[in-house]
Amino acid sequence: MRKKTNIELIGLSKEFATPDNAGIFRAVDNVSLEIGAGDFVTLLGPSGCGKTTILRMIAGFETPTAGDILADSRRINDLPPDKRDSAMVFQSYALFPHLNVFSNVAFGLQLKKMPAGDIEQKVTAALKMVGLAGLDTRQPNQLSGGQQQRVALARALVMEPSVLLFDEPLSNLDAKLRIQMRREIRRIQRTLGLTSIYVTHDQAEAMSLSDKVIVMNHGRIEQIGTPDEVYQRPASEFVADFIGIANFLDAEVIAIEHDATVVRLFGEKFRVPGFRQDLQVGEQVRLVVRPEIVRLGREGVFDATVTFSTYMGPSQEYVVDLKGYSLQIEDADPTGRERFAEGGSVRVSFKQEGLHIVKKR
Amino acid sequence: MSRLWRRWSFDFSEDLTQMKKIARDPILLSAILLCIVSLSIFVVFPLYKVLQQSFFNPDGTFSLEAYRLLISSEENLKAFSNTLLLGTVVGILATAVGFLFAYCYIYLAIRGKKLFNLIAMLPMISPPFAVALSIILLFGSRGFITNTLLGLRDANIYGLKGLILVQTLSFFPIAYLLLVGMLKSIDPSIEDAARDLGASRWATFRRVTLPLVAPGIANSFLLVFIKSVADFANPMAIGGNFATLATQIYIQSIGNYDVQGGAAVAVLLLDLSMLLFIVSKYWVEKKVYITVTGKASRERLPIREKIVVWPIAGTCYAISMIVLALYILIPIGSFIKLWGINYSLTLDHYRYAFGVGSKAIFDTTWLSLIATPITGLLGMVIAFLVVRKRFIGKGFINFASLLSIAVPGTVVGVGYILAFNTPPIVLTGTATLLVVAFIVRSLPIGIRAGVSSLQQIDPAIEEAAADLGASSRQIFFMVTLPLIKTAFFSGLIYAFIRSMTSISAVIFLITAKYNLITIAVLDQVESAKFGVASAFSTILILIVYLAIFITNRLLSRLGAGSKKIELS
Repeated sequence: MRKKTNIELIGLSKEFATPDNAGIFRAVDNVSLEIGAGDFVTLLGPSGCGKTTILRMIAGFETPTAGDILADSRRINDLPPDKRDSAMVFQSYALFPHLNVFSNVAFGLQLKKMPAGDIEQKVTAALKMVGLAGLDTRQPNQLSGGQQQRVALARALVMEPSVLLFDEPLSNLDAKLRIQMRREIRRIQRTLGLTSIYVTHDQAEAMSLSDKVIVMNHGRIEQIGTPDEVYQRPASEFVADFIGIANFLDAEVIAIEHDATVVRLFGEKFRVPGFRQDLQVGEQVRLVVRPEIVRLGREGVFDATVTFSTYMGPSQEYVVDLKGYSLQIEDADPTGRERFAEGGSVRVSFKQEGLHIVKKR
Repeated sequence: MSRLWRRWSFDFSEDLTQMKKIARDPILLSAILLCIVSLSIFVVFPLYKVLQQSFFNPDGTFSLEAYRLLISSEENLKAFSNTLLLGTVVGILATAVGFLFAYCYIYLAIRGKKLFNLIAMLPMISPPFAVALSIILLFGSRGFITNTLLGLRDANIYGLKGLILVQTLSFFPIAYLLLVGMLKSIDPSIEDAARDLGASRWATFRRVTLPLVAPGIANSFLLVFIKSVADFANPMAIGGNFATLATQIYIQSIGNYDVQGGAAVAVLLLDLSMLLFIVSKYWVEKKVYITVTGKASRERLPIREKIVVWPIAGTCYAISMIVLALYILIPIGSFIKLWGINYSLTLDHYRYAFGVGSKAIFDTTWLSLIATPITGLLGMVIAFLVVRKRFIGKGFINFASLLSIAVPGTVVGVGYILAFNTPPIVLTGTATLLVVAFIVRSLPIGIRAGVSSLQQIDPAIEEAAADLGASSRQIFFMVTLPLIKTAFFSGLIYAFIRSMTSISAVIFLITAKYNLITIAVLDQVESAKFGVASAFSTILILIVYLAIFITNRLLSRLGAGSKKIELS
């Protein structure tokens, strides 16, 4: 059984000089979080949000400007990367171009002065696990992108690290391969039960891989939650917007009840599920309306005009004009149902239990 | 103000954390210290001594006497204006010829372009006098063309015109290599866009291509100028009474035993070179428009119109042929009994070279063989530190290694005499000092080769090694060095060639105990024994070729595959 490590970040900050050398840029701003042993956690956010910097600080390539990194309650800030028990899968794969597949994977074990027989056995097992058995003697430049990715993964796995770090490892692969590798990574991680930290800007990757998603923006954590939580109950407008598609409609809180919040939207009342301590009666808020909870039809609450209508195969996508708001709507499985043409008028209603409220920024 | 302060304190604390990291890594720390100490002693200290010497009397009192003599001496002023004149003329001519070759290579549909690269390589692998010697053999008072063919009695190639010819032919490859790089990186679609918008081929050249490479042209002029100003060998061989600053330093300090006066001239030359170098490095290079990142969108369609191709290609071929002929002339000259008078064949000159001259051949070779691996490894270590690490003193290492590119050899020579004649470090007359001079003179090329190949390697590869448990020494030897193997070996070759063919600095340092081939050649040229000079030069070329051959063999054994060392 492999050891599992828990990672804790306390008040972590990192500053860089700006590229023109004129100022300072705070890439990571006072981040604290705990990653449980054996968890698969994703750092998700737009480029420049500080997610990769956090990963590189955990690996030891960057030194924090302030704050601490703890591994199993031991401070590891000052340990150089080669002394840390983590292994990283790089975005560019970073395979050693002068070594073949076997030697790439064996590299770290050889540095550990492991007997050659053990190395051979472990490397073979690792290559088999990532589905590359038999390609030992290939050079990196003789492999496809997906295969290189697998070598990079095997090279990290073979070290039996206590923490596995992924730096956008799938961003150089095509869409289909990406989905396949996503499943592989999840399968292997579950099999080995490794603590894993995964950096990505692709929300689908984050949703499908993680136990927990950490959404970041401008160097700060916006929300930590399960995939369901960050999608259904986003903590801010940013999170709602970044994960999936969201329509935002301005509404006013008129009552706060123990199991729901009542808002007024265009004169109509809606009951939004969930007790919200943080809101006040009379407060102006943003109503989050996901595309799939909107119903179009002959009947409904509001009048609207169809501005775009696109057939996508598994769904029909609309954009409608609702009292000046441009509303994106997804009608899943439109087969056998009425489709509305562009320019026509329709009536719109919401599935109330899918509504969510975020505070105005 | 507070922003500046914050910025400064940020830099400082960042440096401090990096230094703490390095302090925990004794091997990295000692590598850095070694580089800083050796650059301080062997690059900065001698130059400081030159400056100091020019400001102080031998008894240690401050004095501007040396400078008063410098500007009151007609000789020195003449040498100064000569140097500027020569540099300007050669700078313009060599850049023009280099541009013609580069344009021909990149734009024209012609055969045999590879010849140009060979021509560009020749001056780099030959002894410093090669062209001068050939020109004397052809146009001197007993020259094959002037005397034997035309029957002229008093032909005189010595002086400014001979120097201009020799330096232009020797230095245009610098301009060629620089401009080929620039022209190559122009995206052809930019020129296509100009044509599409109605510009003729000529208008496209004048309004698009030329402005795009203008910084390159300016830079190549400056680099050739610097090279011309620093050149010692050619003015000695063919300058005649036309003294330049570089030769004046030598004459003053060695001929007239006036090291202080020599140092004052050296400061003048140093200032001139540094000024030009700084202008080139920090002003002209900043103006470059072309980004070399992206790949050109498609291949450039070569120009086929005869009216363009013939005159340009014709000129380039003609010049190439002349250059080739000049180099071939040297081995031929080494077998001729008495050039200009008796053209019968003989081996006498080789007998002399391998007899009396064997010590020079032997000394040059083994001293160079000692210097070469040190230069190669040091160059790669410095390149690695400068490109990949952050530490206090990195600016100094950068500066000191750039300094050794910009400083003319004669200035280094005077500096070494001044610095290492008296305690604390006494090295004059030793083989050690010659080896050190070889290393310092060829180090910048090794560093540059290392830096440019390191910049092409994803730093993530080294990080991956660290992540897998490699220490900084293990990373350097197991990952970095194998990846820059080709650059390392071409660095070695360059270092060897530079050492074998160097003269300007070491001429100040030789004693009866050690002699060098280049200096033997100079002696023979000065006493008009061109046969022996040619024999020495031929031997030198052969040794260099042998070294290139062996290294290439070694490289293919080591599995660098088809990657031959490119000498360009």
